[in-house]
Amino acid sequence: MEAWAPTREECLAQAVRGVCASFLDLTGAAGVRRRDVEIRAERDEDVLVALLDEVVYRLDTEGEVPVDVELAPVDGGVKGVFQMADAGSLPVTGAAPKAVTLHGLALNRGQDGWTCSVTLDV
Amino acid sequence: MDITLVEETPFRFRIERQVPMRVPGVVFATRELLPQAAGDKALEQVVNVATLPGIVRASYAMPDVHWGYGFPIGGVAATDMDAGGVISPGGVGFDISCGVRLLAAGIDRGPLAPRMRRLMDILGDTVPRGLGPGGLWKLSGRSQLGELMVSGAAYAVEHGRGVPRDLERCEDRGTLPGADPSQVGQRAVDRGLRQVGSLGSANHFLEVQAVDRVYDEPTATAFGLHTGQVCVMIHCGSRGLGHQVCSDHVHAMDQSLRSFGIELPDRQLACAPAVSTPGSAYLGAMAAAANYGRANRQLLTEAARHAFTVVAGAGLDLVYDVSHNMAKIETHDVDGVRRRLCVHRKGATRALPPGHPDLPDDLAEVGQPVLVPGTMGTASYVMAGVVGNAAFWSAAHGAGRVWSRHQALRRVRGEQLHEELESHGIAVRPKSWRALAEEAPDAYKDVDAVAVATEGAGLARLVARLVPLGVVKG
Repeated sequence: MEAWAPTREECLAQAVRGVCASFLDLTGAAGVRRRDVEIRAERDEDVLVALLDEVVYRLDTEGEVPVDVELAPVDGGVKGVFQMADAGSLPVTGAAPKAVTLHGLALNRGQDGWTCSVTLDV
Repeated sequence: MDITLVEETPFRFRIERQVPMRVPGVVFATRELLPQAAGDKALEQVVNVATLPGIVRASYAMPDVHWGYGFPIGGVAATDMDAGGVISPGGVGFDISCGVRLLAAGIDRGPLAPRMRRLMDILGDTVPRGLGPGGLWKLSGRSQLGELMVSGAAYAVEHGRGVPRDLERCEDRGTLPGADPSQVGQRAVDRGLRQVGSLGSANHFLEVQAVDRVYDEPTATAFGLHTGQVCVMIHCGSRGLGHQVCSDHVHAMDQSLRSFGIELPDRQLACAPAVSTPGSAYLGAMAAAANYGRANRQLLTEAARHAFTVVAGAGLDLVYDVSHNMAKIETHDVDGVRRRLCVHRKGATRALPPGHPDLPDDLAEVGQPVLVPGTMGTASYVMAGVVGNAAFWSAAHGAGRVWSRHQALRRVRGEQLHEELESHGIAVRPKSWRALAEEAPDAYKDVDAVAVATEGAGLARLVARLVPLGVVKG
């Protein structure tokens, strides 16, 4: 999965959206509850991994997925809000992610903003 | 990376050792089965694994090898426990103790045919699958989950989910020793509590099959199989719990690499000496997750038994249950010396030869059943372990992907595939069309060729070929 955006936080948010859209049709999906998230890690790419780990964990334990994501920078990480929808209420369009790998992991700032790349196990 | 393969036999290729490899690479395959897709880096991964501290003899690849994360899928690597050999969670895979279970039905395909639709409907309605929580067994909490993680399939049988004979036909009799639930983190527990007895998604399945051909009558008879017989094959693992255990311990070992002076070409190869604190912690957690996986397949067996009883009044006897994502502590001869090894099999099946002491008495003369699932549109194989296996008693675990999921989606429509399978008499109960398309038969290598290469390479021998009648997919 690859994502890109002008800022690091928006790039991370796009990554979350991209992962969810890889296995569910999110068209018209609306959040029914809110989850606060706060992630800290030594490296930017590890923030990405931890953020997506959170998505996988919520899906497996609560059967819910973020359909709207807002993130802001904090020291050593990000903080924000996931608006969650019940995964069971959305059409399944692919295999659900079960883990986030470190294989080919990247989150970098370039000339045109931020890009990231991450491989998920399904 | 330029990799030169030296053809040693029509079924065995060698990658010579170059710095920083500690051992050579050995690929058991025909030229046609070698990873060929553009960008497939499976052979590069065979080379990377050969750099792991303590690895002995060779970094092996099975005939179904394909590109994984860190380790290739279809990879086997043994490290010397008493010479700094490492354990790598990535060498086991995320889905710890993912494996295959084969059940032999007390009915043949002819008599079942008129009842097949009803059977598939009941299986489709009663086998939990797809994303999120939901399993056949609602555990009371961490304490009960802990007991299940210690005893595995034996715990399920003790609680009325199966019969004692089932355990005789399970690898390790259904319980991998050494489980330490205290090394399983809270998140893994949270994910595991409500998924015992569920298939999951992606390439996992419950398939009703028929024995299409028997290659070795005495061995097939010992396994409980005959031509025309109906079987059930279950492919799944330790669900979210196993994945979380792998993630948690990969991260822990990623942090400890420096303290052990280990440098790696890929972070997903994160590892630690098997006898170190993080190494022991992972081995304890891995065994707990493995036992969860075995209990999971035991529960799904009971769902299949219920459906066969209701529809056909037929029983299901376990042929064998074997993992293909595991690391095990085993003793092998290396250069004439008996050594205690940590044998990683990621997408590779243990294949014990005839006479091995770990085999149940009734299989001692014929060897361990080696289960090689193919695809929902082609075939699967039952093979048997052989003497002389050069890869620490390991064999192929399936057909092996050749298309990525994206490629499969670009080339195959789920609805069309469904129609094609139904027109060939294969009943399909998918959760979604796209998920079905991702698992299209054309996305995999030719399983017939994989089975022939497995035999040609001296890894296992052919016993029976199974064809699909119906498939329940996540």
